[in-house]
Amino acid sequence: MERDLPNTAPRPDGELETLKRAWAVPRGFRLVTAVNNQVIGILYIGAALLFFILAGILALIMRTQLAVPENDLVSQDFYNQIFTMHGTTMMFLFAVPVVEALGVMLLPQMLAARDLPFPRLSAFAIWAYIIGGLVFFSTVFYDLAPKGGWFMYPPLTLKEYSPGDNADFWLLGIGFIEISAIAGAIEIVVGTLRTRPPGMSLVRMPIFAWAMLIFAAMIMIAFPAVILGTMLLEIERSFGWPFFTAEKGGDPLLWQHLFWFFGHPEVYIIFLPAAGLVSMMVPTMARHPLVGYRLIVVALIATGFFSFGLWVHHMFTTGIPSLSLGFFSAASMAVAVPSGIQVFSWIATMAAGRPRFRITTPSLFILGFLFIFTVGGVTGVMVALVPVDFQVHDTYFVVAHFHYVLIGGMVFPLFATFYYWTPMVSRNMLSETLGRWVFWLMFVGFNVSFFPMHITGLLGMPRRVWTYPEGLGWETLNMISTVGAYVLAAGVALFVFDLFRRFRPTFADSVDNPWGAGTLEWLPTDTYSTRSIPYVKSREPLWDQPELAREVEEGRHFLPGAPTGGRETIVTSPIDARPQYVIRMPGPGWMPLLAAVGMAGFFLLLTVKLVVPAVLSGIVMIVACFIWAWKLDHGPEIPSVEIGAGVRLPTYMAGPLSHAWWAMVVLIIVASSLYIAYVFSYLYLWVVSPEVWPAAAGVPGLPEEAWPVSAGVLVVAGSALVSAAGRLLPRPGRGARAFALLLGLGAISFLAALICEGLSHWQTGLRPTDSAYGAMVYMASFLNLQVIAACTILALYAIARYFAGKLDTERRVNFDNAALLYYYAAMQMLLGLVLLHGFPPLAS
Amino acid sequence: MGSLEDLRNPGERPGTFAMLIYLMLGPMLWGLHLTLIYGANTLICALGGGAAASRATVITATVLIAVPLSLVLLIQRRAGRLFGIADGRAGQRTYDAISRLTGLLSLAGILWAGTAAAILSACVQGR
Amino acid sequence: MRPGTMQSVAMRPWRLVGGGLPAACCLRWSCAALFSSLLAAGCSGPQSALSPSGVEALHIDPLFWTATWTGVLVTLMIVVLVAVALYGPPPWRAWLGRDWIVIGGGIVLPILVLTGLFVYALLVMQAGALRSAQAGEDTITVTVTGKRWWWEVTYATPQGEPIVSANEIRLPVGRPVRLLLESDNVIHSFWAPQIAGKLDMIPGRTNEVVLEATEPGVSRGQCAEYCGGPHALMSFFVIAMPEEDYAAWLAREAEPGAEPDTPQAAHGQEVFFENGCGACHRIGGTPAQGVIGPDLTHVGSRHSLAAATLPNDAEAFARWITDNQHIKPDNLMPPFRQLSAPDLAALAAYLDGLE
Repeated sequence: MERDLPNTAPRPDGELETLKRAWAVPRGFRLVTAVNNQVIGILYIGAALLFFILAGILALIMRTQLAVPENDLVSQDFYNQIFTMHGTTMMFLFAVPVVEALGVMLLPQMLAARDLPFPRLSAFAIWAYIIGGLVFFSTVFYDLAPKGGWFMYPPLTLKEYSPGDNADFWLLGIGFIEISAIAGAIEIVVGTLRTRPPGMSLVRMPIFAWAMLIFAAMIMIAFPAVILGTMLLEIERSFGWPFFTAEKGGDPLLWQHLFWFFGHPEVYIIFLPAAGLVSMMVPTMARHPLVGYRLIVVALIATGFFSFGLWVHHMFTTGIPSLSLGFFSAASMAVAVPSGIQVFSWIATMAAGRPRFRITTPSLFILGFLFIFTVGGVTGVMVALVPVDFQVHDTYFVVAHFHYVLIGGMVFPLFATFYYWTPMVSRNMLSETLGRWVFWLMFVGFNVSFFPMHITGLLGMPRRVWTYPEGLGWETLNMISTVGAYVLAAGVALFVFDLFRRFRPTFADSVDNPWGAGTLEWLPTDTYSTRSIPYVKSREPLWDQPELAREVEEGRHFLPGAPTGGRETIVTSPIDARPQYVIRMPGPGWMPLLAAVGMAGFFLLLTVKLVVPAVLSGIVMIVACFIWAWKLDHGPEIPSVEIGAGVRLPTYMAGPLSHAWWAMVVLIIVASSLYIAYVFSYLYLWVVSPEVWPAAAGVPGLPEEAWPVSAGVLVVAGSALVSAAGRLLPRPGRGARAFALLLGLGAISFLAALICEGLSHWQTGLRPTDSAYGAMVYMASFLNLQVIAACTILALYAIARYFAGKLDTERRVNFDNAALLYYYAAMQMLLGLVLLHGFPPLAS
Repeated sequence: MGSLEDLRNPGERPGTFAMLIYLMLGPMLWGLHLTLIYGANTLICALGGGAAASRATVITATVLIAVPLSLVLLIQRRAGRLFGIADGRAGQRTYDAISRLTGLLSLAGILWAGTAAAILSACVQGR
Repeated sequence: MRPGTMQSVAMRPWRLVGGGLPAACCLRWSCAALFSSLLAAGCSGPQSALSPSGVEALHIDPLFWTATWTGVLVTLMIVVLVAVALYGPPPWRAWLGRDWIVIGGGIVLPILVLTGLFVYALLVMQAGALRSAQAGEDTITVTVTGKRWWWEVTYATPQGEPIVSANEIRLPVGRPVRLLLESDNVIHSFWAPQIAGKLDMIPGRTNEVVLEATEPGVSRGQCAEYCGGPHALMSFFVIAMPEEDYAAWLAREAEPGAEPDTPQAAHGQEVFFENGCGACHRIGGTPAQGVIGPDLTHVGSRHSLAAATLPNDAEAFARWITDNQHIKPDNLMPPFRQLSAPDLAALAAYLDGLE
């Protein structure tokens, strides 16, 4: 089989040293500048674990308060803060980040990529998350924590009912997570589709990569809805634009639609990666490939879609017409099927075990997960039955249900993951003996704590009550739940103890494939990941090619060194994984950290109304981003490198094949989702309150047609100018002033269109605070402003690059990305013009 | 993909976009169906179009989407060629199976939503 | 502990009327079989959804149990299959370790089971819609408005005059009552588990639910949507009474507040007006016409004070007036600590006498 190896020649001297030098991890305090996924992955997971423990402590306080009726251990106000913080922290600071962290940590290893495609973006996202998360969580110590529940329903969270900055801190904390989640989604989509090893076609991809791909796609669609929601809520709180105020034509239910359009997929955003991890561990413990691989892929895709049709099932009791409820109940049925597929696939794989499925600590957690998740799925079907939900909605039954789904569906697989993958990054495995104790304490504690809650809820106990009277039959059950919670906590504490005792992170001398797994993350690695990037021919390469580890380590596979002298990895085609080019990646740097600090400062200072320092902080962020970006675009200074098997790949790529183009497309999908959520909100509020739309009495009329026509012409002209600028890009080494002029004019044209549209409504006398209609009209301009601001920054950057001689017909990624965003902006603005000026006459 | 030689050709047919659509055809139709029936039902009720009209719209939309989807499921291979998904690609049968099964699950979802319209009155809170 | 701030066992009013009522559920073998070990208290309880005594709740109950039993069977099946997969004899495991088990168990079985449950649920929903549509002209309409953190309940006399009450719902047994649910502040959710499922009260909207009690008795309900502050202390009682009792009660409720019948109560009335209580509270037939707090015209006849937080007796009135911020933190009534002990006792006696 030797002839099937990409590199058969002996490796040249010094190749390994160059590779090591390129990927050296900064030492000492400079460790914070590291961007390598193996370093920041551990940091990311550690931070998420910290928030898990902090939020868990809040849960223990709550359980202690509820142990007996009429308890006054904590005050009502503090309880309301800690249940809000518990939910928010668990969902936003633990669950989503930890699965993203696992993606950052594991994906490149499973794909034998040297790193994720945008290492500094990861680092930035992680620092933003850590700083934002810590500040947000610390509000609980200063009586500043939000107290509106983790889904923050207005009007309760409007200024009138929630004065003070508490709710603003919630919106702020969520803002950080939104940003880091989207950054993570970009990484993961591009990472899974473009940095797979040669030969690993889509259907040979590890299930975890499939799960993360779907995860990232779901973030792209789901998060924009809550981003829009939080923007609307903060704008209403700060400036009184009445999106959610019924007297002015707003509707509190709009928030619920936006929040749950995010919030329900969110549950699957958390669950799918966990299920993906289980699909990786079960085959290893069974020593048998996953039974029904394609069915699991089907389940992941189907779940990804169906989960977007469920959001109203959190609103079954809001009085929405019954037929609409029926549609969403149907979708809730549909989403149950894929979970069934996965459960049966795991059972079948266990049954196929050779000789038998091994019972290790990860296996125990997986078995515990199977039981708990089945119960959670069953109660999920129950709450999806509309009439049953009329009874159990917002009671402890639902509390029990979603803890079964989330702790069962996510935390247990996560602990299995810790035990299973620790040897990949640590000198020691975690203790199997203690692991069993951890499992049984957690499993028993969990069930003792949460099973009784089903009954407590059926006996009428609503969720989010800080105390309850005796005599309703809830006392014993609550006491049992509290005892269980402490047992569960003891399990987690024992795990943390073991972690401190045994976990010793390392790059080179980690434990060597202790479980006998078949996937690439168990290849021998160092800071640069694997010495060479394997040529993959099956789903479990380590099982099917027993010599693979040795070959990879000897540099017999692709890209065995660092031919450009820096960090690099192979970019392959999305379906078949054919090598396309070698991406040159940045190394350690202060800028991602500085940008994250700047962003954190900007939002935090703005929340406490310190405007000038906030602006300064924002400037720090933008400058840091500029410096960070300036060195990224190497250009084709090294035209091509040989990676093995006679394949020569370019080291620079522009256009639709480049990873930068893909990232921009992902960002544009995010922006479009946001805008679609806006269009939905606009139409929704019209359906609810047509009486505040134009043509109704007392509402200013629409601007004359000349206004939108001018704005439209400016947009089209701007796009034409940007396009023309692209044609005038100079050839390498030449100058052509017209480029900068045209791009500048294009940018000005877009800005003029923006002003024209805003002014057109202002001159009719319409104000955003008048009504939901006014608020929606100006919101469109606000959304356009955001995109145009981003465009303008990119255009200025492109012009600066041009004057620095770093932008030409070949080295053109900066311009291409700016242009792509401009074309998107044009479409968004034109759609907005049609909606805002065309819809009201039609509707009246 | 057969061998190392194959890897030297960086291009692939069909493109990513066609393949993704092929794999997700069923779920996309399901999404279209849900958007249509939820939107139409809400709008018709809000504009006072009447329960009968709303219900008829929903059932029509269900039939109009479920029937073609069933047909696609029956002639999976030929439908694949429409997307430029040729036979002979490595793993082609897996892609076909994924497409067929996501379609099947989506069909169940579409029919369930249609069932709701067949049983429930439209335009009332129903409490 | 905060002894005695809430309804204590000794004065639970459901003891008075509905003594035998909640036990019905626990006689169900299903409930007993499933939960008996865990549930010393049984499924009963004044706020239990498992002791239905209203038409909607009675329709939901069998659906709930069907779904529960289906779920129990599914869980047992998974447990058995996992056990076989782990420890079964090799032929069994070979049988289980194939693709078809995933298709059969993961696709076909769920689709069949879910179709059954889903259609059953739709039929229950449609039954509700038909009930609501049939509830015709003789239906009683009652408006319930969610306040922070209590319930304003507005009945109407047969002539259509509004009768305002608070924190309890009276239902004539066997007759549909259409509740109009509203809120002028934040979102609340009206939930009387024994009678029907919950429905939210959302500013700017009026939601409707038709309640019909099937037997006389007292049960309890509670706000189910978190509404800030003392959300935990926003409850109410539902009193289902025979129809003729209901008519008599309604007639009494329409009358003005009772005149004080003792000198102490008469003094209490003076204290009431001197301290400006009438600015927030209304007492029919007196100058007190405030609409901010609960209507007190017949407050003495209610089952509880402060939205089912305190028993209804003179002592509770006195405690509420001076100490309400401890009993129900952040509620919107200021504490009146300045009252002298005799004044306070007189005021409490007056209010207690408003039957």
